Amino acid sequence: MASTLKKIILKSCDGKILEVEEAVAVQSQMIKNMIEDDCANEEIPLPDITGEILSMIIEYCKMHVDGENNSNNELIARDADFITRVDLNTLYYLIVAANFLNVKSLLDLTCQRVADIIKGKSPEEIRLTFNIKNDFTPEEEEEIRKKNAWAFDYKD
Amino acid sequence: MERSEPELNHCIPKKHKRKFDSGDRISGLPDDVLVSILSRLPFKVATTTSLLSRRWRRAWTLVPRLDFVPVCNFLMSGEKASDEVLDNFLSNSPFLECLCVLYSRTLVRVRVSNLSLHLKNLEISFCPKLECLELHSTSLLTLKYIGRTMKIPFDNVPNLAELCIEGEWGTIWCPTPRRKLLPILTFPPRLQKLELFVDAMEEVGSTWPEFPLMSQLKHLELCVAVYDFDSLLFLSSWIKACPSLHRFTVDASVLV
Repeated sequence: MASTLKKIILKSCDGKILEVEEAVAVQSQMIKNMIEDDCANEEIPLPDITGEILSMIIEYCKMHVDGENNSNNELIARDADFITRVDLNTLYYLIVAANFLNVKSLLDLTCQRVADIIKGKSPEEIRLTFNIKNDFTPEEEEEIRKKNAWAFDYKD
Repeated sequence: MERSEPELNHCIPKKHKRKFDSGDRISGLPDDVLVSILSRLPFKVATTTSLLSRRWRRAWTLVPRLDFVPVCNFLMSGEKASDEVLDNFLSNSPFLECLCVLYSRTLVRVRVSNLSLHLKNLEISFCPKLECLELHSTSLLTLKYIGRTMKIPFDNVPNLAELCIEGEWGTIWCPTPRRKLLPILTFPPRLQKLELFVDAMEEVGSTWPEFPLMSQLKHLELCVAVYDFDSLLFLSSWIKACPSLHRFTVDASVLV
């Protein structure tokens, strides 16, 4: 019984300490592995995750643990609500953190969000949205256009 | 007057700039994350990301399962699915599992090499100019071909398990005195299922050539159009050539 109440202590890169219930923390496969290997008894430093992002991730994991008995549709609606509140910058940091902590459902959700943002945009619009610098020479770009011509018949 | 965003950025002192400047972070994500994002996009959209930057150029080729329906639909319009485009696509898609090319009027030669490490299913259909299908692939398991008669060497697809041939090609399997069985019969040794759609059998009564021995063939399906005086007795020699056969279907439609 004691183990279900066990708290895991996480430390963000900006020094914020967060105590998390084990049931919530094990949503992260990385932390789950650490617990199984008996390496989670002291605080776990998370070098690339800020306190703000870490709080969001814990909020998300908690939502999933608490919502275990809810219907699938309800969870999807909550996920959608969670992710649409997030701006692009935060989305990026969430992806990095979800990838590092290996929270699969959150990684899926964030990657899907980026895909949804990309959908329906021309390459130029995608570059603008994500600040991607076009580092091709005009010749290179022309070559790629030619080679993959069958795919690029979107309307500019 | 309202200032546009770049100007505002310009006014921010340099040391704070980083915080406000939304630089290109997405391109810095690890490969597997980019692939995860691209795998959620329709195939065509995923390929257009190769135009974004050098970082993105080949990222889409790492996507293991692509949604190919849009390609098929696209190829129906035809012209752009040239040999060069398909070669380029195949050699840049090491994780491709399934490829279907339909209705290309420019495709002359299809080359599948072992560069397509994971290609399992291939369909090439309704490409009227196609002259040559070169298959060198140990991963290929199924092949469907609908089109005109042509020599397809099966020597280099050792693991091919299912073969489906329709259209004019199928007719050469039903030889007639005038149309001798073409010397196409090199077989993939592991073939387990063969589906043949035969347009018409003519002038039955001659000697039917031996059906090549296919020791592992379990399922033979023949769709055939016959005249009511045609005999299907020759099929008995086919069955004899397939010692492992446990399912044999003939769907004969009678021509009048």
